[in-house]
Amino acid sequence: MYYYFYDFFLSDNKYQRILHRIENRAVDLGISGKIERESMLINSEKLILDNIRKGAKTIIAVGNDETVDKIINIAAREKVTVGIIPIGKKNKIAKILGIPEGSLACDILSQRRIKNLDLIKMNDKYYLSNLIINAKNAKVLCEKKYEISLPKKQGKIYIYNLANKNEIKKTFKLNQNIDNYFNPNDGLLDLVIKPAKQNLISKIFKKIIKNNPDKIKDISIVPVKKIKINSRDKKPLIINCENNNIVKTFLDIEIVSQKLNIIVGKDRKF
Amino acid sequence: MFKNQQIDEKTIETIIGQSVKVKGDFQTSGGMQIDGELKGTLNIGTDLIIGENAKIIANAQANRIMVSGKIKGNLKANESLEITETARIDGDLETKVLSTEPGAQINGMIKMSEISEKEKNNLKEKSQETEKNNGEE
Repeated sequence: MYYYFYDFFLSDNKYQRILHRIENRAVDLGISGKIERESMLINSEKLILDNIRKGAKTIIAVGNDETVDKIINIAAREKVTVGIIPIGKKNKIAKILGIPEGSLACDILSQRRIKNLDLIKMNDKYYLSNLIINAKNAKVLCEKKYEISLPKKQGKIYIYNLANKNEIKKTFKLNQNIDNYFNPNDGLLDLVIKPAKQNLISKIFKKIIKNNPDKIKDISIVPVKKIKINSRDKKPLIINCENNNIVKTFLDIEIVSQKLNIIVGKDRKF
Repeated sequence: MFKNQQIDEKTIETIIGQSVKVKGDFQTSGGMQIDGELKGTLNIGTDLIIGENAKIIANAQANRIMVSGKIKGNLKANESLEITETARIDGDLETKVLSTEPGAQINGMIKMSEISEKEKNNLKEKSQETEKNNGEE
């Protein structure tokens, strides 16, 4: 049984036509099911859980990346399959999974090409794509064995499970081959640390003095399974995940292999 | 740089950039390139590249090692060890195949293990392949 969870922002009138088209296409393909809209008054997880208890086997997140984030936890815990119908902006996850926008996504859902993906577990919550942690002055312990000190003036750690590799190459200005990284099936998190910001003089110095600057790696990429991050000065750590900011003083992050069944398209980017 | 490099950069999984410091015991089944600082021990499954800017205080073990930076500690390469002109090593070395460039500094003992006929042939094949690839480029 399919269960469609509409994000709150879709109650805007401008989305009515596209939702109508999606509902019609779902009926045509034989994948229609119960539809519920997110409400400010009812807890979303409770709403979804009630429907799983009533027999829903596939939960469809209709909306954007934030909608996916709202259902990931419950889907992972209850072992139900997740589908996505992306609408509007901020749909990076759907793009990586090869799911087109609007009613075209119904065709992908009906094909039921299911992949079993890894998830990031931070403290007790699951995340699908990535976490950006402002970890200035924080202690970063990997695999309980080694500690990484961040460069001065650079306090951010990027932790990826699922990512658009082209975007990563642009963001971090990478020239190297990154085919081995950012794979949501490899049982590893990819921890990325950007180099410290350089002033113009040191950039020129590096270009002139060093024989082969391209051979020297500025960026750090460390595949890991477990990371613990503690704030040294009791200042809170700010974590950005799926466009939401969370504040914590201690982070226990790990990869959980093959935790989520999700419907993907053949144009997926992994 | 060596013309007949045995190290394949494609095997590199972990990259420690030059502005990052690592402290502790590092173990990986893949390859590693270090351009930053590391204190502890290194146990690498395939290839280890110690870049020109790297400062390492550790005992390191890998299949193939290429050193261009500074290291205080013993190095054990199960297959081959390449030392470039910018390398400064304070420690003992153990390997089967060793190559050094003029200018490299080594303060320590060198222990060479015996190389089997099969390994000799493999090395020959690899270096011929690399020469062929370099010629094509």
